[in-house]
Amino acid sequence: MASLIAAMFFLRFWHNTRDRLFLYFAFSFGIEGVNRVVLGLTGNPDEDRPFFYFVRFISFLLIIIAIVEKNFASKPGDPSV
Amino acid sequence: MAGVFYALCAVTACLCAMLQLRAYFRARYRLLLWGGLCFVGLGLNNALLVVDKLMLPDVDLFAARLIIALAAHLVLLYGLIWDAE
Amino acid sequence: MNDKFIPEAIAQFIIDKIDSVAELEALLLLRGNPHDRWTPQNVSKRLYLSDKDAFEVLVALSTKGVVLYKSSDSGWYEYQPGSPEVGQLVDRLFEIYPKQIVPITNLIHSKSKQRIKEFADAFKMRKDED
Repeated sequence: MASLIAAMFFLRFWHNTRDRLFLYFAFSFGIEGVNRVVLGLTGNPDEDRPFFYFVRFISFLLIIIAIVEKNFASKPGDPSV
Repeated sequence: MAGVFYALCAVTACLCAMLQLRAYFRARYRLLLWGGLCFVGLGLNNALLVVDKLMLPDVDLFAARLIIALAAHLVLLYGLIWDAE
Repeated sequence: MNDKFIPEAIAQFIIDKIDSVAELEALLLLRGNPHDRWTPQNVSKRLYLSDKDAFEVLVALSTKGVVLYKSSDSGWYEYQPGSPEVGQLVDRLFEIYPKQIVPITNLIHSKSKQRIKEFADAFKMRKDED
């Protein structure tokens, strides 16, 4: 699905820039994509089931981790801005 | 339980949307606009999920949510393909 | 970085206006032959680009105000800097490019990485020195 294609783009960006944020985004969109595929394939899509919301939550948690890391791990005095 | 998680997802998506759109208005880099809009859509998608499950048991917003999620992803893909550089 | 071989003003011009090596070479090609009529076809032959790529490059350069499109006859492009300052920068660039091809093309290539980096940098919540 679209999520998985976006994940592939993020993987490429990570490969180009070595910025871990893109790796997190790639995994985030990747697992969310798989989540949605599974959701779509089950006969009775019920988003209340822990599996689905847990995976969705993990995918957003990855984004949060990416943001936190971006904000607290940058080296001070980095000239390349 | 599910509601809490989805609400958190919605909040995260909105945060991402704000950061991306704020950066877009400063730098005018179009990928940020598409990324921001995508996160708005994802935030809306998750917020509607909470509403759908918890507040409006008689109404099924599944179709609306699906369309919003698809639109959000397509907007992001459009940006990644055409405006990434 | 290699910037020390490129004068600051030229580097800034490249960062602001030049998005690809093809664009740079087309600009310098037109600058080197300012009285010729350039079409996508003859630019593509000189620069080994496809006609479509040459067309896009010429359109981009005219949007950026360094090249002018003349619509009489069947239409052509010619070198026309938007201002004397721009003209001086392009003249200087025309001089130094043959001697500084590697640093200049590196600068252009680093630009596209910069754009993607902006996506990641958007998530910085603190305002850096901008």
